[in-house]
Amino acid sequence: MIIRLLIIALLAFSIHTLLLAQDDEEDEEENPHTSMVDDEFVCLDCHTEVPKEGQTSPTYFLVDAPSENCLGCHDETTHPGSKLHLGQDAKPLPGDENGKIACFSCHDPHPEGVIKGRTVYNSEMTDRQLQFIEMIVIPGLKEELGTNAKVETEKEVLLREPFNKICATCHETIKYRGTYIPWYKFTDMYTY
Amino acid sequence: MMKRTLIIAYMALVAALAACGTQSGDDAQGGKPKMPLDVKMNYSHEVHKSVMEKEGFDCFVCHPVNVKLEDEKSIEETIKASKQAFFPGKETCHFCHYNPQAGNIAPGDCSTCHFNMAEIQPKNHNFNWMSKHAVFAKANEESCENCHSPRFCEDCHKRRDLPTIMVHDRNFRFIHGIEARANPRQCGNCHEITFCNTCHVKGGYDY
Repeated sequence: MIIRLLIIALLAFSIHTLLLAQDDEEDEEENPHTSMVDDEFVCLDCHTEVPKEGQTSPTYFLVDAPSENCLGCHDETTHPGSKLHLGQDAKPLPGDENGKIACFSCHDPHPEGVIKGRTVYNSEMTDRQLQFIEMIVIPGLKEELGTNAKVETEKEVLLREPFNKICATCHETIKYRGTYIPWYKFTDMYTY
Repeated sequence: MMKRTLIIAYMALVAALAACGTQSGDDAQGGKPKMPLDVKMNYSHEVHKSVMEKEGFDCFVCHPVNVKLEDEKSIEETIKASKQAFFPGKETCHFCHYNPQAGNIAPGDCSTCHFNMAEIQPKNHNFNWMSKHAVFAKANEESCENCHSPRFCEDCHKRRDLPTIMVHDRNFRFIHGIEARANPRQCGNCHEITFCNTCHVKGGYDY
């Protein structure tokens, strides 16, 4: 009798463990960015067809409009800075259907290895930078906005340029009337 | 006919002058506006460039667009958060430029950034502040030091090269004993006991 009960308990525990492991695998599979390296069919999550090497299109063969394609999964409202960038001229970065900045102007949706010869970068910060943001900057944000924020260091943000250089793709400092001021490189405008 | 020609010539002259007026403005300089006075606009990336590189600080340290806000936001809140991320709060600047706890590691003169000092001047620092500041200073001495260094007070209160009375009358040295005996605690409002003992020790001015 006791042996039978033990076997039932063991089976129940094994089934529970197997189910949990399966959930983890499904969660992992849900991220098309990481899984597209090995599975070409994942491309069709966002693209209508898999573009061939060198093949281009103003719509990037995307399922939705380029300006909205990422928003099916990602929430733009939790990314500070997104709202002030979206709608600006994207040149020289890739833009949406109107040539304006979209998520993929700064971020490359494809991890390294998917598109030949393309390098993608992550957000690598030193401990000192992290401490400064966590101790000084985030409390300031919290005070102003009444909301908390966190730094996601481990997250793969897939940037088109290195983390410490991506701003300089469009922004520069110029000397005007003896004073250095922030400036857009390509649209001839103040940064602020 | 002559009159009409004159009117046309006059109108053309006015139009030409108006066009010249426009060109002499900002448009002639490529649409570049004048430098604003807002403290956020006074920041020079060029001045800070070498310091930031030396400290190993990237753009995202001051402009934290790499943080993730908790909870979904409304569009208005998102725009506010974006602006806040682009224009860092005073805590970010003050960490180096005004840090009473740890000490400044960068120039701490308020006017370095605050061109319009009236913006940061407390509301009670109005026209009558000179005569009433003592009450506030004695009530909470640390409140002065939120903005002023102790030297700022001493520059006036310890000066002896002006005929104006800062604290005590000029002949106070000779009559202070009367007031001190009447209310000994009053001296202690500003002075340590060692200040009195400097003179009133045995063998000194012991009367």
